[in-house]
Amino acid sequence: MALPSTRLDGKVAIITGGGRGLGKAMATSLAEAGAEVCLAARTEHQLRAAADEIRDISGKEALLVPTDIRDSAQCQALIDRTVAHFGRLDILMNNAGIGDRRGGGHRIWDWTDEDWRDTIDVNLSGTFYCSRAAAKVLTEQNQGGVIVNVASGTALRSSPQSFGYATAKGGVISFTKSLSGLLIGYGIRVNGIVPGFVSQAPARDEEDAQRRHERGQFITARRLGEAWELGPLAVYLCSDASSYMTGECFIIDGGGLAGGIAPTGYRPDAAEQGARA
Amino acid sequence: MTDRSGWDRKSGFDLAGKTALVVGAETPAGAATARTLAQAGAALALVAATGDVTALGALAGEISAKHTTAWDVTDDAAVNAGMRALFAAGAAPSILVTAQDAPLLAPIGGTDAIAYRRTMAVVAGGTYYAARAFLASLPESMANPRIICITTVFGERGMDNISAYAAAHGAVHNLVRALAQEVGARNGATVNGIATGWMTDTPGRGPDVLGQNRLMRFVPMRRFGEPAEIGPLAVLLASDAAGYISGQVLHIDGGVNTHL
Repeated sequence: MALPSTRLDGKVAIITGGGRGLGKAMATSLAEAGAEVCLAARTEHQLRAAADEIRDISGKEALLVPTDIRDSAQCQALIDRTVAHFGRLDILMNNAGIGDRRGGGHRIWDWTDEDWRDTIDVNLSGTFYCSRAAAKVLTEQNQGGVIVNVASGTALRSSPQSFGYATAKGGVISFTKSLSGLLIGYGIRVNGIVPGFVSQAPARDEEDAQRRHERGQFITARRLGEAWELGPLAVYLCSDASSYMTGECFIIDGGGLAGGIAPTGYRPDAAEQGARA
Repeated sequence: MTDRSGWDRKSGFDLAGKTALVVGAETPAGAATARTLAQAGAALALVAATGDVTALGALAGEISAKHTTAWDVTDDAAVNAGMRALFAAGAAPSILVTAQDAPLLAPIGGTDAIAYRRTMAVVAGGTYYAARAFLASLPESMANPRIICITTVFGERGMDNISAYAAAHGAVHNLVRALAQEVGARNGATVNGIATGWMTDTPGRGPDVLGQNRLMRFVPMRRFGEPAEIGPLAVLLASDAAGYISGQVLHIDGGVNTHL
């Protein structure tokens, strides 16, 4: 008995980073809600595997466009190919992103200019390039539209282990708020999804499951999120169900960012205060 | 349903088999949310927060509500007794929506202690009492309990001449964040808020005509929201697919909170 306003029949959606993890999960839910989907990512064999999954669940045949979103010409080509194939565009989900290639634990002075530019290009500039190209199409169609940017909870707290990624994603959050103001006059809504710790795929084995379980104990919900949980949220933001929402950054993190001033499960009772004194 | 990736995916918009308790169902936001929850398949229990069940009007019949009652939400004993009675009558809600409201529009010098206490008691007190009584009655075995507090953006941003009302809703916003931490280990429980902006029923909003209303032009969407636009988010938050969304106060406000 799903709500009619959450259906996306006849809508065309592009999901960048659609070959795996969160992007694949969101694309699957959009297709299941009736949308035609275009998946963009660098790795073509992942795109094909994702398309098989989407066909299984929705019967929809996804359009696959291998794209490196660091290159603005490829972003333009992604939008152009989608419109040529499906005849229109309604939804852009800027989901592609990648962690710092230097990884955690590096000193800031070990970062090269190239490391920094790569982080900003993939996680922030790509979102700009795709949004710019999509916004032009959406305004020309003059039938509204939706852009959803995927940021990260790391942007909202100190993230020393991934500071480049966190900084770029902070830019995505700012961009989301400003872009919503730029485009609402054309009836285009722009919102963000801010995930916390979310597993990209089910646990490989018992050991992996146990490791995730232990990691999850530090989170309010006592577990990590699962990629599929981003799907219904994506459908909500991409459909008319969220018709009065724009400029919102929707945090999905198991409750962590709403707390975080004491260890999870801490009880400020007399015994603990006494022990500390 | 397990997909090819191995995820056990659940619907975000189907509440069949669940019961939702809406406290403050006589308000426009409460009534509209109850309608959408019913549309998504939930069974409904409705409470008029004013203590007067006739305030619900035709809503109960319209959505075939299973239980209809009235509590004075400013009276904690009445809320406790009412909640116990609902559970005893077999309502067994796993979803609590609070939507009661008591706007107070006046400069601080123009209010008195009675008006202040009334607004705090209905908005902050009523939400606290309802959440406490709900958690006390809820069986430990109940999976994925949900508390959804309907509040307003006045709870996090300042505006002239609403200080008591803003303070009361601010209390609800942080109740959401704190309670979310406290119930986090409880069988998938979440607590969230929905903060509405200027709606077509908000007192003090002026004429509903863009050309005649400076306030409406200030809203990025250039219109006031309809109460019916609240419900789909309540359905998503109430669903088994929203277990990783907690402690959030989400805006349905036409973008107004993105302003300066």
